[in-house]
Amino acid sequence: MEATVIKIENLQKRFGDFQALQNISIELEKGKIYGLIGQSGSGKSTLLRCINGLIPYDEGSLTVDGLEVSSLSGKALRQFRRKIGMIFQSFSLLNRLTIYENIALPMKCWGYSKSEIDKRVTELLEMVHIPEKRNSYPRELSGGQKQRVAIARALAMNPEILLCDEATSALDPSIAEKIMELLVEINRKLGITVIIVTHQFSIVRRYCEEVFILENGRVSASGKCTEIFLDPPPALQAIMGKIDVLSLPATGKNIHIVLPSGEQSATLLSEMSKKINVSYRILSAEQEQFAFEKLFSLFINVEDEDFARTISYLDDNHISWTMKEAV
Amino acid sequence: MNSEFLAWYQKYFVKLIAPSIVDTLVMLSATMVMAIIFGFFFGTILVITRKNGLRPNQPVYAVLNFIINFVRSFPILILLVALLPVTRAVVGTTIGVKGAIFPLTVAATPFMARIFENAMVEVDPQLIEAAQSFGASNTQIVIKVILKEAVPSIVSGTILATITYLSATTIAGTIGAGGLGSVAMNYGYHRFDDRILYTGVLILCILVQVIQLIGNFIYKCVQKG
Repeated sequence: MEATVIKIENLQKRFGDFQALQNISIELEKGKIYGLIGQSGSGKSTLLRCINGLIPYDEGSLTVDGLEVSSLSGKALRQFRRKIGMIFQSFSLLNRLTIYENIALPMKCWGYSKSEIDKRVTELLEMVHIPEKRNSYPRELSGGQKQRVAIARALAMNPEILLCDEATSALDPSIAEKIMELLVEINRKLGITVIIVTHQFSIVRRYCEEVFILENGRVSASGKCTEIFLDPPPALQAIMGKIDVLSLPATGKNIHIVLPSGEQSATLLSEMSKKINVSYRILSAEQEQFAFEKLFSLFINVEDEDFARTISYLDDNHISWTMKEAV
Repeated sequence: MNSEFLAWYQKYFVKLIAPSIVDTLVMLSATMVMAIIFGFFFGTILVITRKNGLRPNQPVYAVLNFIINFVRSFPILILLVALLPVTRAVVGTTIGVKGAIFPLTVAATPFMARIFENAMVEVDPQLIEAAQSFGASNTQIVIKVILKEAVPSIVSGTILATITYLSATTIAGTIGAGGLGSVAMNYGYHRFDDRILYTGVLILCILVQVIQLIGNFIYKCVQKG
């Protein structure tokens, strides 16, 4: 089940004097949705293009299904790329072709028969929920619909991996969500590995299972979304610009508590103050939506002398927490 | 007046001006067809070999780029004259429609090459990346993606070139090529016959309008897809 599909070891890429990627070593498992997040210039799009050989890397190893990408060229590289679909920020549709012809283009390039193409395009249009747009032109479509067409085209060759380069960045937030929901649906249905490059952390948080944070060409943090977003490393804070806005008091101890949403969470704090007689201040409380669950994120402040009792109470109740210093 | 006009019409329009319109159109269309073929060829090479092209090749690009700029830096009349010996060697004559098509093609080809290059360079690079990402070959990318998307720009550029080279054929007319330019100069200007001179100009005027009209119509059609 958890087979590695992409294995990257010590990957290096330079553009002239600029080190775009440095010592990237990551492994991606089949069928998961991964997020690759970073500010512009952090190397995330470069890394994405190394995976399908659009950009050659200088050193290190990048294998897809055990195949070293840099060893491929010519026809072999083109064959290899059939396994990897890609979508872009600007949708990349041909304006002078109909939606049908756009989706059919990869199959035409690979010499499929008319009837095969017709069957597959019809299937794909259903899959991305725009069968009625078959004979329209891209300019008649909204941004969200265009991205659906691009997704259908990317899926035309039955790829194992789908690369999304800022695929939702040009869309309204509500449309972006719809597109992400479609990608999740396709991921579940086809078991395709999805890699999402974005600078929109809300997208990654809601839809990705694991996230890699890129900073100046290095992976500065990685892990499950729930872990990473509730205790954001500095690199992520720069992108989110959110939690560091919260000014934590310098007196007492600040504790960040993460709770699954539900019965227990609602009463946790009042129970705590009753049972161990600790008074606390709530600094912030938020409910955050993650790929698989909703979590409560709470910042509380307790007196120094109450700290030990508080954390032992939290540990006893198997609640994850971290201490936060005032900034 | 009426019979005098009819006599002029018989003598000059039917026998002189009308055939010269045909000559001009033959020169222009032959020149443009050749220039489109060669211009497409060289324009495509420029697009492919340029930096960030499908197969970058700095020496090829630099040489071709230089030659195109070099030919384009000649004023049209000077180029036609400078090419006279080459024209004689290649076509066997330097006069008439036959003698004009070769040098006009030489002049128009770099112009068309630039039009193809500019139109194709404008195509969104992400579109090319998308085509590469599903495994299209370079030939397929050039024909099915770049050229396909560039057609409207190529059409509008070609209209521009056609009108530019219509006036070039009249310039060629002054140094031995036939056509409207030659008639307007030799029978109109040199013989102080304003009627012929301005009839020639009027016909050129109409030709330009017609070319532009047809061009706009084609542009509209290709833009739809």
